[in-house]
Amino acid sequence: MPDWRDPRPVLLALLSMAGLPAAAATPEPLPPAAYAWGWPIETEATAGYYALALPLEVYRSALDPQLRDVAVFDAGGEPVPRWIGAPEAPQPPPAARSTRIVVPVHAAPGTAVTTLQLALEHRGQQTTVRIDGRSPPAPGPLAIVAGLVDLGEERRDLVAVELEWPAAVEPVILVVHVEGSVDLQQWTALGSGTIAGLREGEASIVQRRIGLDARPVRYLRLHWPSAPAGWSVPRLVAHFVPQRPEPTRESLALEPTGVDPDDQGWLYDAGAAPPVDRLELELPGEQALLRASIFARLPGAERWQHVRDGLFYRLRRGDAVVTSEPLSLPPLRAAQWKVVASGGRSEPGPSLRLGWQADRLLFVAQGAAPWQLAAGSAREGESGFPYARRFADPGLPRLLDRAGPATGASLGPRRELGGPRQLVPRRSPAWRRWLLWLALIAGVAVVAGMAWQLLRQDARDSRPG
Amino acid sequence: MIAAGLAFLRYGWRWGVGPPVLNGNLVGGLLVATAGLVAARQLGLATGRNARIEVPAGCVLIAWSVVWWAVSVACEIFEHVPPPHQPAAMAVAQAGSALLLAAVARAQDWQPARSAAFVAVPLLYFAGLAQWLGRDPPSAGSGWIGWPVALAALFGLLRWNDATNPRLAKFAHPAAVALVALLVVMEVGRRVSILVPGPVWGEAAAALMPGLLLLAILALAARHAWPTTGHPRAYAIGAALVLLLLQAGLIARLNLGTDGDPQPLPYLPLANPVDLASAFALLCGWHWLRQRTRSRPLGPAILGGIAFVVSTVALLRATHHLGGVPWRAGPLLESVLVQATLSIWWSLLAFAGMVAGARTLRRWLWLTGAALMAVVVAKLFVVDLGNTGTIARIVSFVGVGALLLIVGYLAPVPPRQREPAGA
Repeated sequence: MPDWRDPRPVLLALLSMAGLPAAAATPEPLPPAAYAWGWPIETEATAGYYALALPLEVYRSALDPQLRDVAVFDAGGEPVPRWIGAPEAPQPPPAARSTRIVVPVHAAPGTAVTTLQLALEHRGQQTTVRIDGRSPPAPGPLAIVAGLVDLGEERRDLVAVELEWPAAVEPVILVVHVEGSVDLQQWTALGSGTIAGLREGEASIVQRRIGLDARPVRYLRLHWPSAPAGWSVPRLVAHFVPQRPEPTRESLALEPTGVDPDDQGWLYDAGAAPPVDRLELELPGEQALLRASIFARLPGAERWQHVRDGLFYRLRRGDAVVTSEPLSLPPLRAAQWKVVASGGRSEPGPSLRLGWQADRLLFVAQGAAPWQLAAGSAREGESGFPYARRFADPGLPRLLDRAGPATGASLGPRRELGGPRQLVPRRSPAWRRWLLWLALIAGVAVVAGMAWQLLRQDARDSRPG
Repeated sequence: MIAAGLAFLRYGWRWGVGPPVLNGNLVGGLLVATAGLVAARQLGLATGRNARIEVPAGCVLIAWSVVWWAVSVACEIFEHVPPPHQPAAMAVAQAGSALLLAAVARAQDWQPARSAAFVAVPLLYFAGLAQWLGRDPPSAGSGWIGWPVALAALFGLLRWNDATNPRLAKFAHPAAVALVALLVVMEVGRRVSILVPGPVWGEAAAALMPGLLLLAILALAARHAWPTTGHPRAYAIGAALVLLLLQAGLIARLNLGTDGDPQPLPYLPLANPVDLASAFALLCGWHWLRQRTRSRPLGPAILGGIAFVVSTVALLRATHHLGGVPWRAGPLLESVLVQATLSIWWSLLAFAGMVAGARTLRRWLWLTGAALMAVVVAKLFVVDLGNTGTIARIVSFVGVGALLLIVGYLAPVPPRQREPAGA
């Protein structure tokens, strides 16, 4: 009878069960022929490493949604280290500033500038202010009570102005109000500040800057409650907030492929799972309004994941068409999408436009050029993604950054490597299935035997005497 | 000397300069460490009237030296050894360094330094952490030779230093066993996952490993073999509890983190990797409890509670694979099939508990079964009654009612006075 003080048989059985699969060695990276498709990588200059944005064709060619079956090979077919990740954010341009002429507004001293109807007239190089006062101009000398600035077609947010004044008016300390307008009719207060110009020998205190609420405006109106004689502001320097350039984006419009019988939602299939971060519904017809929920099914998942709710519209009045803004979302890699209407109706079903920033692929210029990109391999998944395990080092970009900026590269036309048959999963090898059955049967036997022994010992221990 | 160390750190440390090993960072760091050890030794030899200051100062100097040595070695490895070999190289270097320190301390009869050699245990945990953060199994790269050598050095060190500081050794032994368990879990789990894609087989195989180590420890203890002889309680309680907790964590992750699909094999109730691994873990716990807490009801009660939860999850998994209920909390809870199956299963468990309690005169067991039966009856009226008109509701009501009748006949409550003390 087995004795629990000597559990060697159990240990041996279980060790063999766990040890048999463990005997398998870490698989080597697969050759290019194990991938369905390939693209020649075109490089213009010699560099230590290259970067390229992945086109939709690569997403559609890969089997693994995490792109672990996307590899780079050199001319000899040897795998090359690569990294795939989010694209680099474009660098914002430096802060912009520009000098503008301030057109003076002459009126009776003490005139409230809000009572003046102002208009700018451009005649060649000369710009003048036309004043349509609500009250007749008062007799007597005029003073500069305000200034107008035309910022032109500038669309960036104005964040500050720096005023210039003639040195002769110093010393001066003055509160200046700044208002903005897009049409010279409606004015909005942008901010106010105290400017100062004080000099004593070599020492000076000069405060020219007035910070403003950041917003885009076409016209500026400066005015001051009181000013010393001779005060004027011939110029100012406008400071604009730098706008971050819009990154390169990709988009794909999808038509409904069917209707989900459960909730009557329209189904869409992108055939690829790029990192979608923007969704747009394009409604048919000229006057359409639809409240809808958007769902996505992640690769391998059974259920739909709720993504966003939104009100989508396309309204026309005359020549003007108003459409709903795209919905933004954190990047989501899903190929299958569903739109469920909760209010309104759209016949036929709307188009779903997916937007994303393509992933960036970095690869080391290792081995001989030309390099090629390969994608789509069922064997990669079956082997536990040996290429990604060997090369996808998350620290690679940081390492490459030390070598300076990446050199751009592009992909040539797609060509067949192993062909579409590489996309078809192979059945598990027979020996592997037999091995798993053996492990399972051994496991059942060991667990049953162990339970039986423990029950017997428990029964023996509980017997009186 | 401490000022020299700080100055070296501030002005002397340079990354990426010099060849491997013979570079300023490693040589400088080792020199600072060696100087600290020499100073500590001299302080130890000269200890006299100011022992209250000199002894702690010596310990501080030893700690200072150990930190310098370990960090210098670690930095050297991270800078010059390729990533796949780093964890194993770190393990070998740190274990070898600790062994060297123990040898010097032994030759000098230097007690504090011998105790300091136990630092090998946390240092090897750092190497294990580096291994875990990588994606490879521990045997990848040079780990197949590096880790066994490092672990052999560690256990050799423990054997050598067993009598030096028994209080430290009492913790070092279970910690070393836990390190071995973690490495084996990583190795088996990652290797099997490579062979059989998907999380189930890899995680199930990994979850067996702490149990196997526990059985091995219990077998060694029964034979009074080293290392269990020197610290029987550290192994029988400390190491065993650590292994059981690790196994419980792995089983919980396996049960809750996967749907238990044993692809490429079909799903068979009970005879599938998740249920077998869970059953093995429960049997290991039972086996250990039999040896430790035979007379206390707390252990069996905890184990029984875990078995109850595990069996319930196994049942839910079966309804997912065989009944087509989606493997998510919402649909599972809303499923009529799941609710009826749970009612029947829990009433069967309650029935078994009450009958066993009555037969063995264990009143607590009978009361537990009765409480579970009460929960089932309450569930029948609160939850199952809502599923009016379904076959599943009728079956669950009839089934539970029949069991209540039978239990009333077969298993009356055991008398309080006849209950064995503490049973």
